[in-house]
Amino acid sequence: MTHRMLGRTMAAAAVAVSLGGVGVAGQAGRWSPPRLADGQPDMQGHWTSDAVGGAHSIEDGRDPDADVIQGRVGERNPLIIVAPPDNRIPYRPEMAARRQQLLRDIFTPTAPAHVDPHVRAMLDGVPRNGYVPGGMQILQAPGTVLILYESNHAHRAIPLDGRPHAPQPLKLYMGDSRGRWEGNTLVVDVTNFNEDTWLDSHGSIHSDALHVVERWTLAGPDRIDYEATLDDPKAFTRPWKIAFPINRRPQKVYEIWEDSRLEGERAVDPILEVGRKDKAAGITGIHEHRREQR
Amino acid sequence: MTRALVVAAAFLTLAAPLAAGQPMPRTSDGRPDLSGIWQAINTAGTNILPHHAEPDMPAGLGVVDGNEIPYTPAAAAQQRENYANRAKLDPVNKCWLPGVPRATYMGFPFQIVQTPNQVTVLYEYAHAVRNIFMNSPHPKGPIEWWMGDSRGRWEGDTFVVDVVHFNDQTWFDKAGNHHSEALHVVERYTPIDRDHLNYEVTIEDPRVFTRSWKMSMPLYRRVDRNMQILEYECAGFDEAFRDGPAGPR
Repeated sequence: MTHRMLGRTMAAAAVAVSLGGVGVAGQAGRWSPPRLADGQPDMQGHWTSDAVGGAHSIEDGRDPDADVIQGRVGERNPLIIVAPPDNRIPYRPEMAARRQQLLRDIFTPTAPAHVDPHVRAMLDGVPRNGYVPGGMQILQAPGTVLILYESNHAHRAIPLDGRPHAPQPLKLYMGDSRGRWEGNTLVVDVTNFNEDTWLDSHGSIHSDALHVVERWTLAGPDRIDYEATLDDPKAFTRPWKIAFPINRRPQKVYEIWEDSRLEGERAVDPILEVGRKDKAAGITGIHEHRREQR
Repeated sequence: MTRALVVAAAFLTLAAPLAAGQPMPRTSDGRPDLSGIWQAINTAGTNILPHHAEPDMPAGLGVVDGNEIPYTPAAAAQQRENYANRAKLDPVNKCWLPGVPRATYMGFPFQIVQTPNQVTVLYEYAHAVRNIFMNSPHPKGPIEWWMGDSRGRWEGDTFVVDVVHFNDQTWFDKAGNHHSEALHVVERYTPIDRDHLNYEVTIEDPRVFTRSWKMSMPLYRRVDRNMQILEYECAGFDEAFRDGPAGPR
């Protein structure tokens, strides 16, 4: 089944016709997930998204140079930004300028802050951890939803007890998550971010005022429809939205095994060495890709 | 006196000497429910053996049974060398994963989330995590993981975790107490009351120790209001120390 990022409603309508309405996104009540003893819809299991193009560029998708190497030229390249319709992050002017500078720094990196935090084995943050390669396990216990990401063994324990967010001065890479169930949708409100995470490898940035609202909708036994709205009055002119499907892993038995990224990190020093040499030789530029058709 | 009162009185008499606190809650399948946020309160992270104070490090009585680690002579020499160069050699000073059991008593809180088939432990330190799979065999090695491979089972009310497949890179403490990749750890988490666990660890490693040995300590529930696991992302500290401020923000 293909799932279009854009024209979502049309895609959902088409699915409704072909499957007789079973497992249709956003049609709460048509499919009833099993419930756990504490009443939570059962979202447990191992899940992956095919939105990993977003990890390269949230605005442009997969790396066209990598597509050449991997023989994927011309393949569908779904973008995960669904609003605004131009798939562009609505940066405030000062943030757009900062991001342009970062793209220049990515071209000739001379400090760790110029290298993708994912490459530096730092935590990816929310929502990026959901679309980097490697899936996730969801575990539920009374009052808690646990998201265990395979990449970099990141974890989120999301309380459902209605407690307030942590005090604002506290800043976290993964943010501070509070969850509640609305029917078959887990709504997670995430605040208290630091400004050290990127939204992709292209230096898409945010400030410490980032506020993410995630909606994890159980759309069928093997699919979650994921949406996240990103609001950040210091960085963006208006809220914007990403969406992609998350599918249950086909394996009957799956265990997340250790992904010790920092311990094996050997990439950053050579990247900085090259960047510093280039810069010293007067080489400058900007990191960008030209894609014939998006 | 009514029958109910007699029963109640008998119960009080029996229960009172056992424990002052409330009993550990139980899950729907009847097991003690260890879910919650726990922390060791001792100085084992500095040195699992008895030790005097150092700057910013309080003295401690140690947590090793018999106050002695049965190193082979070569392993004892290695420990002395580790100790002498601990600032440089301690893997935790590089923000690497701390291994087991060190993650338990480094002084950071950790959260246990218990489900029937998998018990997951989230550590605040370096977002370390352990997925403890219940009643299933270790995968076939050789595998070398920082946190090992953990398989759990219940023995009565004691949660027993068998851990193998370690690398030889982690230490037991800041004092350079060490092991090889042949390390075999058995952890036993036994409820004392609602807010206290007894944590007992058996260590086996024929390449480094002449016999198995044990450590034990209580674990305390963090009962603070709205307690939650936060982040100790020392990888970020390390970058800041190494390269100075990251430039204009």
